[in-house]
Amino acid sequence: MGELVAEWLRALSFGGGFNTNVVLCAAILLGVAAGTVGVFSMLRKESLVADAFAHASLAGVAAAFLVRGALTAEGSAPRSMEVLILGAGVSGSLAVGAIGWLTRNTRLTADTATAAVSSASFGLGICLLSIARRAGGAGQAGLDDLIFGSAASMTRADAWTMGILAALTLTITLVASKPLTAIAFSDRYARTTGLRVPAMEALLAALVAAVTLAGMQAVGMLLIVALLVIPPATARLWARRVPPLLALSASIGGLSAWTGTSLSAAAPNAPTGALIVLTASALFVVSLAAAPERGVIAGLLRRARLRRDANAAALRARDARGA
Amino acid sequence: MSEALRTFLTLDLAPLLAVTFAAGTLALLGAFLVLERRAMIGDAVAHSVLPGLVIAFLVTGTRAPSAMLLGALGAAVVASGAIGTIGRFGRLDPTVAIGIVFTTLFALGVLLVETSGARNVDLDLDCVLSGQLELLFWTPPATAVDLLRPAVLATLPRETLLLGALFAAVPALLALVWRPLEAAVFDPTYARTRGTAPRLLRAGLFILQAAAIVASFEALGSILVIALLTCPAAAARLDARTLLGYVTRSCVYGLFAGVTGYLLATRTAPAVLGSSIDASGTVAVCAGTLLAVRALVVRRS
Repeated sequence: MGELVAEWLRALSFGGGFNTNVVLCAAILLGVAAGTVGVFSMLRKESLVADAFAHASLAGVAAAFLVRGALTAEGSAPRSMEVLILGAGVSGSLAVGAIGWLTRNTRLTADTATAAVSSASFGLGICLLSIARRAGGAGQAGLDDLIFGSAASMTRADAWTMGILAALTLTITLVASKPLTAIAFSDRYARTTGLRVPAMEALLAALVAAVTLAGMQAVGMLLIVALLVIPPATARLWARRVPPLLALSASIGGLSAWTGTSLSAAAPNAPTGALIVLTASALFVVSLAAAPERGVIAGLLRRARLRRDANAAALRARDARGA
Repeated sequence: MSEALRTFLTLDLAPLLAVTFAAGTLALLGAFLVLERRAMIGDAVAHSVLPGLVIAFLVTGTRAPSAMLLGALGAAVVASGAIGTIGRFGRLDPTVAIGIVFTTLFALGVLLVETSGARNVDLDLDCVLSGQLELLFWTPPATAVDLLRPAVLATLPRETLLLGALFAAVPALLALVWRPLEAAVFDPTYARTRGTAPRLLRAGLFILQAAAIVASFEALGSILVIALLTCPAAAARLDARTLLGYVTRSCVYGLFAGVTGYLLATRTAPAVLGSSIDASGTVAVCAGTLLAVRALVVRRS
């Protein structure tokens, strides 16, 4: 146990190997980017769209793997990870499109459409994956890592891809934070200011997709949505205005990724994604208990105070009648 | 008995029955989830079953069905309680609360499976996703006549029998409380004035839903459970006019997806692709395709 803690502290303070540090830096960037983008999707009540996107991306990953396998037999081998990410992006976008279509054109509500499309498309992913497994090949083992995430299996190139994608997403989000804030609160207001709302909606969807794809390998497609949901929700318990909300959410995302990734460097058996998510969850639980207005403790105290005041008022009224 | 029939009975009968029973039950109960706009809650509960199973295993040291069922039910209750608390005190949107709870519990389950001894006793992550239908097999009797004897059928795998019992019990229970249930679903206020207890009924319905999710989880895996809870019900919801028609249709769609998907994965796929494909995934795809086709048809007309 003591060894584990020492090992963890070493990784935490960037005392691990060079590769570990590259992965750690990239993961922190990912956490910061996810925390920032996540604020806007939370404010638009679209948190679970990312979940559907991520679930559906398995089908694209497996399909891309199969197609690439068929092509490389003829000698043209494109680089692996980029092709898989391209496939994931296509199938994830198709699923998000399908959810939108169902919500607009049928009487189904958004939550039903989301649950139905994400589970069915994940089923398709599992089917294609079972074909890919039979087809075999060296890269097939890496596909499983994308489901549950594994920072240990990341090469330096993978970490660079993740870091650059995360940094790019973060930059674009910060540059566009003003119009993104406008559409987060009111489409109609945003339109009156001359903003092209559909374009901004598409931008937000693209940013969410970019974070999801960037984090798939480290965190895994089943848990990446947590990085987009939990840090913004935790920050929301403390912050009332958008700038502090963004700063806090980004810090919490970065801190969770930092702690979780270094923990998994110390204990290679433990899945990275789960450790990152559980760190974020722990911060959320503490905040939910202790936050000043939206916290459980504050809420219970307020309730007790209201009850006491009401009782006191009732007693006074009785005394007044009696007198 | 012919060789082909014997092979079918040995390898396919138990999983086919398990998928069919589970599909019917989940589609039936999922109809109420979709109607009450709680589809994502079903999704969250299905994800949170995992840590419940692992913790129950770690505490009791066995995979006895009663321990598994209790652990999973406990996790389901914790999940829905946590979603409620986050919404009430934190004043966060329900989608956010659901997203927090199911990812947290799922992450906890993944961590426990990977780091504890549970991994060695076939609670691995693959069977979490797509179940272990392949492991259900049966030693059929020597003659075809024996197939009708209850004592012979009782030797079917435990999962199949459990799902069969649920598939018999759930419609019966629903029929028993049908009128009050109808009122409780559509108009809780009216139901209360009539002296029925809508909250009690809905709590009972939730327990049934959680039990069906838990019972199906081991055999079918999490994806299929969620797909069967939502897709058939969504397809039925598109043009249903009465509650009875809606619920029946959802159940029929579920059964159809279950049988078609299983046969496609184990019969058609080997003929076309040379090997069978994941049966749970195929059933989920069938349920999704059904929804897609119905949505296109209903929209046109």
